[in-house]
Amino acid sequence: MTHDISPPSRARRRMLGGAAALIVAPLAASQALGHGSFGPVQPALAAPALSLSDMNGQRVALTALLTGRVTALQLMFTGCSATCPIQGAMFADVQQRLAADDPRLRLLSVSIDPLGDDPKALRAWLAKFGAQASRWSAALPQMKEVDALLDFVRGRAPGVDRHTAQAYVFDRQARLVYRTEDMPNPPELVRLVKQVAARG
Amino acid sequence: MKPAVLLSMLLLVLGSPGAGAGESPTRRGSELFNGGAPLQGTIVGHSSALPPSASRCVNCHAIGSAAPSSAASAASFGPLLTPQSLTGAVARRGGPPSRYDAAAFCRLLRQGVDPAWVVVPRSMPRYVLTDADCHALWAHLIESKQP
Repeated sequence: MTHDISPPSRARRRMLGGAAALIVAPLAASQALGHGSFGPVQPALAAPALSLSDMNGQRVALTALLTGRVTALQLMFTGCSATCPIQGAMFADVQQRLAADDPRLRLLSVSIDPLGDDPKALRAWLAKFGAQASRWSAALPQMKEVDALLDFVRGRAPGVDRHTAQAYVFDRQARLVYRTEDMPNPPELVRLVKQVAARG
Repeated sequence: MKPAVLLSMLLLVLGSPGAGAGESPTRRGSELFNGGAPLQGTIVGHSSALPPSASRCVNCHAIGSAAPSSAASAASFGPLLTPQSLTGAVARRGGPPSRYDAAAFCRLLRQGVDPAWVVVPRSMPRYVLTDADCHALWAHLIESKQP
């Protein structure tokens, strides 16, 4: 059975569609402003001048970790048993899907617990998920800079884990360009990272 | 006698096909809860199942026999699971008071819908498990003792 749309019916649909757009568009815009911690970041935001410890305990600027690469960053801590194992599994899945791709597509797990974590704990956490150093690394901010990092990515969450399970995508200029939903689907995150890389 | 207790007794008599020979449902349930036996869980919208280490119940839930204490609840990412909190009339997630039974518990694990028909957060994986394993988990929780 086919459904013919007669000209009057099409015109009516267009009119209703137009009316709906007039009603919905302002709502969508206000909702987008109200829920600004998910989706494209426009304009892109330059990463803040934070200093982190890498997995060897060396101090390195966040911008230095990000510049020249497209990076998916996640917040975590090794003592977190609820969402962090899921986040680790997600990045392991992404790593596998990126196996044949440009090594400048990177994964970075940043601990929000400088008191409980150290480079050794981060190395052990990454090893648990089969992280390959060429693709996936971890870092630890200074205690005094954790709040600044959480504020910048909008990564705070209520409850014992204290952080979201989003991924934050940075372009090669170390600018935050996308905040994903909580627990993004790995194939979607891969697609997003590649899209950002393709922009140049 | 409460239906939940009756179910436990029935499960104890029948045993669990997912369990080893002679293994009680509550023991099997304990293994599943604590990760000694794998559970297959997937985050809604994801195309791959999580590794068992990321989907075990104990990662997010504490269990006990007493009424939930604020300290225990605060230390647990997911709801504290006690016989009272599961089988008592409790308002959950903004819904009306509701009680779990074995069927409601299994529906929650598989579909993420609680007994008041409220969908639980996405951070709770949806599980693929046999009826026997689901009932073993239920038996373990309703007979749980304060750790």
